[in-house]
Formats: sequence, structure tokens, C-alpha cells
Amino acid sequence: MKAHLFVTCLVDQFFPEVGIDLVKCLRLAGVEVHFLTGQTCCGQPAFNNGFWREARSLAKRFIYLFEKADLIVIPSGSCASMVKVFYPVLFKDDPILLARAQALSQKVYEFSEFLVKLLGIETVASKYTGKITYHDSCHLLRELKIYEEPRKLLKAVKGVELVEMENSEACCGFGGIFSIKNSDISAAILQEKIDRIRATDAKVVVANDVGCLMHIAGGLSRQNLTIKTRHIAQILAAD
Amino acid sequence: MKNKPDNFHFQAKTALNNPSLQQALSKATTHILNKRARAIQELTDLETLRDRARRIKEQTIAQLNHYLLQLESEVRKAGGKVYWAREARDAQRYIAKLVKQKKAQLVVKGKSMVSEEIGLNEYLEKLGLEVVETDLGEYIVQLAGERPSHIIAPAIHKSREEVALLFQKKLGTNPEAEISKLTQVARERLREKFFQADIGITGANFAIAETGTIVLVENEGNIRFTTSLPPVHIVLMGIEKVIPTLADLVVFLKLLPRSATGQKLPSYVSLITGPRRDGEKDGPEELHLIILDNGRSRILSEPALRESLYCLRCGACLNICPVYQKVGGHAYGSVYAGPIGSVITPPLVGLYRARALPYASTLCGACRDICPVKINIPHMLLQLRQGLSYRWNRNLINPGYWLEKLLTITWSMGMKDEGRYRFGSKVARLLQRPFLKKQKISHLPYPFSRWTKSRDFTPLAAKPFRIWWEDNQRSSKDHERAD
Amino acid sequence: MKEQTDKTRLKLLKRLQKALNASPSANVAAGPCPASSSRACSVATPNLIPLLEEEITKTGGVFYLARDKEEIAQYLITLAKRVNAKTIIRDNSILLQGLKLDGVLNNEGLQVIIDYSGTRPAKETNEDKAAWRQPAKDAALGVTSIEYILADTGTVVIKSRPGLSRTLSLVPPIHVAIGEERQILPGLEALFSQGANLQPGSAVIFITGPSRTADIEQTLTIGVHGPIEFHLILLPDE
Repeated sequence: MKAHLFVTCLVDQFFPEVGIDLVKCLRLAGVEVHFLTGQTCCGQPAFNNGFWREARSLAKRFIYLFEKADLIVIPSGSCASMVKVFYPVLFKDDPILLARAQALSQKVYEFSEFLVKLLGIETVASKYTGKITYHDSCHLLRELKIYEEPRKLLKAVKGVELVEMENSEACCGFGGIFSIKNSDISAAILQEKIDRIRATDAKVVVANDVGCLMHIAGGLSRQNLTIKTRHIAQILAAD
Repeated sequence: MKNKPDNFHFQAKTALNNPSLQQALSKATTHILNKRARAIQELTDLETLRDRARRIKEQTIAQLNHYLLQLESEVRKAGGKVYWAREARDAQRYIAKLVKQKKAQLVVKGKSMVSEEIGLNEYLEKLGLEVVETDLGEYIVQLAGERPSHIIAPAIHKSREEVALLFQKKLGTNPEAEISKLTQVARERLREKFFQADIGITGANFAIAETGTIVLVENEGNIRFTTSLPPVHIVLMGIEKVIPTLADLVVFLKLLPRSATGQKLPSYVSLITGPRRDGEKDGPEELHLIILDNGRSRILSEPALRESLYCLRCGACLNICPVYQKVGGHAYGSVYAGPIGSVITPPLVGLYRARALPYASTLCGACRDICPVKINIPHMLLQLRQGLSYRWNRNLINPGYWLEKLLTITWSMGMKDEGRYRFGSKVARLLQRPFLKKQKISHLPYPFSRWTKSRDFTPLAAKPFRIWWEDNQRSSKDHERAD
Repeated sequence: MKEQTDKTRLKLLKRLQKALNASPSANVAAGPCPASSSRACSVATPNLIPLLEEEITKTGGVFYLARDKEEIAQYLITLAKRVNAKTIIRDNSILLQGLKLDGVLNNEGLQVIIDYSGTRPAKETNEDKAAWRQPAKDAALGVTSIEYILADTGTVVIKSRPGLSRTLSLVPPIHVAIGEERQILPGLEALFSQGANLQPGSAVIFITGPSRTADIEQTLTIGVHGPIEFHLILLPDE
């Protein structure tokens, strides 16, 4: 099977190691990975902040670039939602682009969704010893309705003890531009998340979105806590 | 000073720095959410009910004129009077005229968000009337000279100790912070008011077009008193409260109490049709229904915002919202707080005045998931943000807006082309150098300083992923060639 | 007060129509509403009494299944003695008349007031008004008949009418509702499917348990404005 990886700008620029593990996981699953170096950002930051014209121009670019791909795998619930759910919203008044956005939307999979739903993966070869806890990223959970898939994958990893934190579905307070515009509220929400992570005694917090992880890591690091943040691909690729 | 939507950031900060408020909020929202979750679980056909409720609201609102006219004629048939108010002041004046005509001195009120919206208490007090809120939470808030901070739990922000102190100060009671005693105080004080009142004012949870019936849902009995004892009953309702038939009510009676307080049914549901009939001993002699627009037609004319008129005012979206949980209702500076408040306040008070509210959300979507009529709040917040960025409004002469716009445009230009993107990522790596200490970024210039104030920032990786990819591709090609 | 002049009313209606036209049937799905699957039917209803009892108890109310009419009077006497009641107010329904309570209660030294139905004078003085309300104020127990009982929520439905005033079930600190087994319906759906019967009087009240509030610290407190106790006495069908 052939799949195009849209690695997201955050992974590309801040977390290349996640991208490397993504490629590893996909190849292990027998997927022929393609990466278009023309890719940049899906336009979500502009879209969420109300700058829809700018978002539209980036969305158009994305559509042109990825239209020919059969399958597009995105390691982020929020970027995948942007393409799957919000591109059609952006182009609702433009019938031609709307049709193209909708067609594209059908081919987009979030990483864990791709592995579980499309490839039907149930066992993984990786090993990762220790307690981990999983944070549900909001867009992944509520726009894409992905809840079980990442948990299934994590439980399949040898040595992993998955401990659910209290209210794992609560937002971490990131919200993109929200973390800057309402930084105090954002930090207060994050604190609650950190407290809940700590209460599990897990050494690692896993999510499917590096945006959330970056936010949580920022808080953990500021508070000199040694809990690590990991993208799910990093656990699935561990050996 | 009265809170305003303009001052959201300041008000939010004040709330965050108030430890007793933080404790009260966390306790109350957790408690209500747990109760709701238990009550909702009992519904085996929850999704069908939600779809049905939404469909009824959709179809009613789409033919609003028809149903409002039917309601009007049925209320009149039942002996009630109907007044159509375009703005807050129309409703105020109508009530003032009634007050004068009845030579009223004392008004008792059941909880009504619409009356908060039109500032009725202040208005009537200026006319020299005594206006008494009779819902316990509202009574507390009124004594404190505050506004409700939650749709269904107006005094959610107050601890029992604070209430006891307030009662001691205002009513001269014992400063005993025992909840049952405090409740008893309210019972005794307000009982007399009900008997003396000249006018009772309530809102309406639903108005049934088919029968001209006003439906009121409550737990305390204060609304029953308000609608049973004073000789005049005034109902204030927003245009969106009408539903077609009594049969439609079933769906809402199953969803509203469960979503609001986690109850199957609250203690009292009153179905009021007209004033008292011949031979009845109590009930009002006159019933006046005021149908209020006050900006709702603006929401109606915006396709993207219309579904906010489906709101049942259950308050569930407030309880689940991570932002509300931290800042409480007063921070929003609006009668309608929380996620749904952030949607309906801008069209009601003006986009510019409420400009901070559409951004007062992480867009996590928990509000939409909990909403009994599935209102897509995050999508509407996005629409409002979009409106703030492009439509003419005073925000466009705000320097902060232009800084944002400049950053967004620069950023999107950089993202539009692979060459620029690569170049940009190199420049960014140069720029981050002075801030990079021990693999951490702990300080950044404005506006990013807002992040680093409480969180470290992840530095850009030494090399982007694409460089690895290109190396990887090259070496595998080399391998192929070597083979 | 005069009815509103048509001008402002029409202006508002016009404004609404304009708003509706601006986004014709925005987001409205076509077709009928999906039916609720739990539309209960009242044919072959199981014995609803245990469910009713459970639900009433859950809401903090008291359920009592009377074996016969005599037991009702006894129940009321015990209740009145417990709270040191002197006066009881009751409605003038055929059911309550038929129970012949008054004499038995009088013998125990309890005064029974029957809610009066008659025409109020057109021009009432304040004293008149106060006089109308006084009995309910004085009574410790308000005893009423009911229209329906909803088993799955533990609710009684009361329709106000001459001789069954709204205050009877509201003002006295204890409300005792007396119903018959045949009045039990499974729940809300059944009630509204008999919509014709529910043709509203001036006030139809659904009562579920005693008055309650959780406005201070979300702590449940019973009896804020309305009755502090709610009792349902059920007479089984013969």
C-alpha cells in the first residue's frame, strides 16, 4: 500500500524524531511511504484565529499538492480535522473547490486511525517498559471521534502499562492561539492536566498530537518535572 | 464596577487570582457534571432524543412567524395579553405602564435570563419599586449587588460562609454558615413578599403555540408562588422559546432537567395557560406575555449563527467548558456566560464590544458534545472570529489587531512556497539562538512572552524532518545503486 | 390595558420575516422528526406501583399504599400529630368528599377547611385578598386529589380549578396527594399521548418530590419555598 505522509509543520520543524518514527512504523506495517517536500502547513493557525483568507490560500495549496495522493496519513488529530472537516467549511461558497476538498477529505487518515481502521493492525512488535498515560487530544476525539484506536495500539505494545488519568478527555488548554491570547487561563487549564498526569504516577504522557504535547511539555519543563511527553508513533517505534 | 464583555481579560485574571472562587467553581462544576452524567445514562435513546429536540427547534425557528402568531392567538383566547417588544426598552416601557396602572409597589421575580438581559431590576428600582428575586441563588446574588454567574446556579461562585456573611450584613441574621439554616432564612423572608406582591414576573422555558401555554421548570417553588399569588403575572420570553405542540414538550422535559441539574424531572413543572378562570381562588387576574426580540432577529438572519437560537439554557456547556471552569460566569461580563454566551453575546451587544469572547475558547468541542440539542458552538466561534477579522468593526483600528494581521500574513506568505518555507525555517533557527539556554527556551519577546510566562517553549530542532527524509532517500538510492 | 397597536407588532413580525428570508431554512433537515423509540404504550402495563414507590422515595417524597379508605384518615391523623398540626386544608373533589375524612379528623381535634369554589367579587379590597389566602397559610397540611401519576419519574399531575386552588399544594409545609391506582401512567409520553385530557386549565402542575434547592454550594436542601414534605397516598383499584 502507498501512502503520503503529511508530517505537519510542527513535526517537521520541532519534532523531526516523531517524523522518523512515523516512517518507521508505517514501513514496518508494509506501507510504501511518500513524502512531498512541497508540503508546509495546513493553514489551521490562520483558520482558528479568524484569518480565513490566508487559511484558504494555504488550504488551496494543500489541495493542489495532495490531490493526486491515494491516501494521506497525518500524525495529528487537529491537522487531520483541519483537512477533513474544516476545508469543506472554508470552501462552502465555492462549489468547485468544495467538491475537491470533500474528495480529499475522504482520503485523509489520522495516524492511529490509519493503522487500526484501514490496516487492521492489532499487534505491534515494539517494546516499551513502564507506566504510560494517554491524553485525548480534543480535535482527534471530538472532530474525528477517535478514542479507542490509540488505546488499542498502546496496549498492544509489549511492556506498556496504560494508566488512564482522571478525565483524560479534558482539554490541555493549548487551543493554538488561545495559549497566547488567553495565556493565564491556558496555564490554569494546563495545571489541572499536569496534576492529573502526575496523579497516575506514569513516567510518560502520550498523545496523538504534538501541539498538545508541546504545551504539556512546556508546563512540565517549567516545573522541572521529569515526566516525558511522547507522540504515539514514538512508543510504537520503540525497541 | 460592573463587569463588561470589553474587559474579559482583566476579569478573567481577577477570577483566576481568587482562590475561593476557584474552589467553588471546581467543586460545583464537577458536582453538576457527575449528576448529569448519571441522569443522562438512564436515557437509552439519548441520541434519538437529541436529534428530535434539535429537529423540533430547527423546524420551529424556520417558521418562527407562524408559530409566534399561533402562540399569540392562543394566549389571547385563553384570556392573556400579548405584547411584542422589539428592543429592551419596549419591554421596559410596557412593564412600567402596567406598574403605573396597577399602582404596584412590590414585584416578585422568578429566575429569568431575559429580565437580566434587559436590565429590568435596575429599571424598576429607578421607578421606585421594590423588586425581589425569589430563586434562592438569584436572591443571594441580588443581595450582594451582583449578577448571576451561571444560568441555572446563579450563586455558584459563593461559598456558604460568604452567603452567611451576606445574610448577616443585609438581613441581620445569625452568621451561621449552615446551608439548611440559610435556606430557611430565605424561605421566611420571601414568603411574605409573595403574599404582598402586586406583580409577579417570570421568564419561560417553553411556550406552546398550539395551546398558548407557558412552561416553567423549577425546583424551589418560587416560580409557582410568583405565578399563583400576585394579581398580575408578566411572562418575558425571547422569540426563540416557542415550540409547536404539547407533545413536543416531552422530548424537552426529558433532556432539559437531566442536562441542567441531572434530574429526571425537577420538583415542579408549571404549565400556565392564561390567567385564573372563573371561580378559581388564586392565580393572577391578568397574564401578560411579552415576546422579545432584542437582537435575536440579527442572529436569525445569520445562517452561521442561527442554531444558537436552539439553546435551552441548560447550562451544561458552561459546566463542561475548561475556560468557564477556570474563570466563572462573571469574567465574561455578559448576561450569558460560557460557550453559548460567547456565541450569542456578540450579536446581542455588538461584535466589537464582545470581541474577546469568541477567543475565550480552546475550541475543544466539549460544549457541542454535551449540548442536548447539539449546537455546534466551536464552529460558530470560528465564524465569529472570522467576522472580527474581516468585517468592518472597530477592532480593525486596534493596533493589536494589526500586529496579529502582520504576523499572520508574514507567516502565511512563508508557508505558501517551499523555498520560502525552507528559508524561513533557517531564519527562525538563527532568531531562536539568543533565547536558547540548555535546550530550553524560557523567555521570548512579546507576544510570545505570554507563553513563556508560565511554560517553556520547545526549541526548533537542529534539522527539520525533511532534511532527514532527503538524506534517507539519497542513501537508499545509493544502496540500490550499490546493489 | 389596551392591546398593542398593530404597528409595532407588524414591524417586529416584518423584521423576523426579513431575517428568516436572509437565510431561508438554514441548516434545517427536511422530513419529519425522528420518532422517539421509548414511546411507551399504556396497553398491558405491568404493575407500576413498585417503580412509582421507588421513584417517589428517590426524590425525597413519601409513598403510602393504603389498603382502604379508612387507612387514609389514619395516615393523615398520624402525620398531623407528628407535626402538631391544628388545621388541614383539602380540595372539594369527589374523591376526597367520598373518603369522608372530615368527621374523623374533627374527632381528633383537627380543623378541616374545604377549599372554596365560588365567584370572587369583581372589586376586591386588600382585606378580601388576604382573606382568600389565609386558610392555606394557616394550614399545616394541604391535601389534594390529582389528575395523573407518572410512575417512571414519581410525579403527580394536578390541574387547578375552582375548589382545587394552586396554593393547596404549595403553601402548607406538607402536601399530601391522594391518588388512585387507575391514574397511574408509565411516564411523560403516555401523559402527552392523552393530550386531549391534558387540555390545560389555567395551571397544570407536575410535582415531583418536595421543594428543593442546591443553590448554595450545590448542596441539596429540602424545602426552600414550597412544601418541605411530599406524600402520595395511593388507593388501589378494587
